[in-house]
Amino acid sequence: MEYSGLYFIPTPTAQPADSSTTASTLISSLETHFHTLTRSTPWALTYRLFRDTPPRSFSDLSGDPTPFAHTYQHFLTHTSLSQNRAYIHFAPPPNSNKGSGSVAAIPAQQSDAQALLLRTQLAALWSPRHTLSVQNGATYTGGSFTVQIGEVRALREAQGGGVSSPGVVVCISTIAGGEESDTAGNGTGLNGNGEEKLDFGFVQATIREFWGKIKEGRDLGRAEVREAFMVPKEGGRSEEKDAVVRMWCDVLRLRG
Amino acid sequence: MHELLLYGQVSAARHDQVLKILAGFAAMQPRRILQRRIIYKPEREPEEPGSHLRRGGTQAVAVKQKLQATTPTQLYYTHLVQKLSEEDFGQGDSKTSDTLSADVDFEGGEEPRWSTLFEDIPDTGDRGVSIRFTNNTDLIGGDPHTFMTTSGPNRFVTEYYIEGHRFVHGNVVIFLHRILHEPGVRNLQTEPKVNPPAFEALQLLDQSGTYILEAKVRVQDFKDASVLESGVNELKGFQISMRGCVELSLPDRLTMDTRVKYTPPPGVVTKAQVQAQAQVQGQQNNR
Repeated sequence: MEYSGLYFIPTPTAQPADSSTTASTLISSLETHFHTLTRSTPWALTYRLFRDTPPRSFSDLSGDPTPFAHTYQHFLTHTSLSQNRAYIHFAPPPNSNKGSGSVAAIPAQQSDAQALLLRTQLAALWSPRHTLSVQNGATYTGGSFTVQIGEVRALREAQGGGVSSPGVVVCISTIAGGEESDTAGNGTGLNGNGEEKLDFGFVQATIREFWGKIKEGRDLGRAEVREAFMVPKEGGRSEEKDAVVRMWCDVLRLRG
Repeated sequence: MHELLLYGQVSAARHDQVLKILAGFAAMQPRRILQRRIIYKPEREPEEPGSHLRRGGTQAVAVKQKLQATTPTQLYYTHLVQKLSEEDFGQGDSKTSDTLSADVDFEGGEEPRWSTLFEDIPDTGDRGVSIRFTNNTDLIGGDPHTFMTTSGPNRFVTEYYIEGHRFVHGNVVIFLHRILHEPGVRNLQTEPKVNPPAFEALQLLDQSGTYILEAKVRVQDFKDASVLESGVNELKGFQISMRGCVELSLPDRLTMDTRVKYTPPPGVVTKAQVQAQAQVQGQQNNR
């Protein structure tokens, strides 16, 4: 199956120019270290984050130290995942026992209307947090690897607009487990024939090594790079897409 | 998007005649519509109206009060709509899946079968037609029931079925339909059924068999006065055309209220009750 890992390099100054510099540094490093990779179709992404509004009675309790455990609702459209679908991912609070949340899909053209509904009519339940986008992301493919690099832009919806850039995102995808795993992607799960469950440790190490090579010797500032891998559950092609959606949403949530 | 609405009633005996009249008027064959509607309610209870105004106080609290006063608190019932066809009824146990799935080949042009429906209470104001905000979002992947329960969080309330015919004339969408349900099963359900029951097993909600005629004009941009005006006029024109056949009128907006009402917990006396009691006592004292 195609397995992906995601790296987020924060830009401490939030200036778009600084993110561009980081992105160019990474791209030139990629081209230097991996001559066999070729540039292919650019990619784009839009992301919205909503957080559930605590009930009024919660904030009335004065001096209550336990913070409200928030559920997040993420809207994601990613051109590599689908040209005309927007994914909606609900992520329960981290320490609750509700699992990893659910993923649903709606037509991409209806995503803005649905987000507007949340902001206006359903405001008692959901509050918008931030909106991010990546335009003209660079894609490099070669062998069994695909690398996507993009500058993340945040649009401030307040008066005066203004664009800031929280950071740069790098997604490295490769094939996990070799060729047999391709035929197992038809919903029977990887345990279908009594084969061993695919061990992602090896492919994660491969991706880490790849990332290590890209950033070798380059100064990415003092910011701590965030790493995330997809966590697929049992289930075949559609579950793979859901796992990729969850991975992106987890990283793009930033500080929520 | 906003909807302009008018409603009328058609008795069971006149149904076929009205269907033929509408087919002639709209110059098209009726389109058979079968739907399942599932109602969801937010798990959160609405607060007592005016509760945030009662707290008086110091400087520190005043700031918090301002914040609270502007936090929206309105909660709504929402719907899930499933498009059905004759074959979907009465599948029984032949389908092995135990969860609902909205997955369709959207890229291949397949029509979505599930959608979420939000309807606001109709606006006040007197234009002669009902106007309300509505939003319809198709679901093309995932489990629709899980989607609705997490997007609130909501809880399942009940489900029912709609059968009827739809026509389109200009911008007016004409829907002649009635509501069916399973009375016994409905009270015991905690989640939507995976497979709809056999069509014959469904009973009419209104035992007299009366049909509802809904005439709707959809307006995308509410703020554009000229578009709204022409929409209202077109709907009123349809109302006039139908005179003598079906009387269309606008219903009381409170009967179309989708907001969740506040219910005081048992044993608690509310301000309204105190006032009512005082009034009754005052009247008694005056006698």
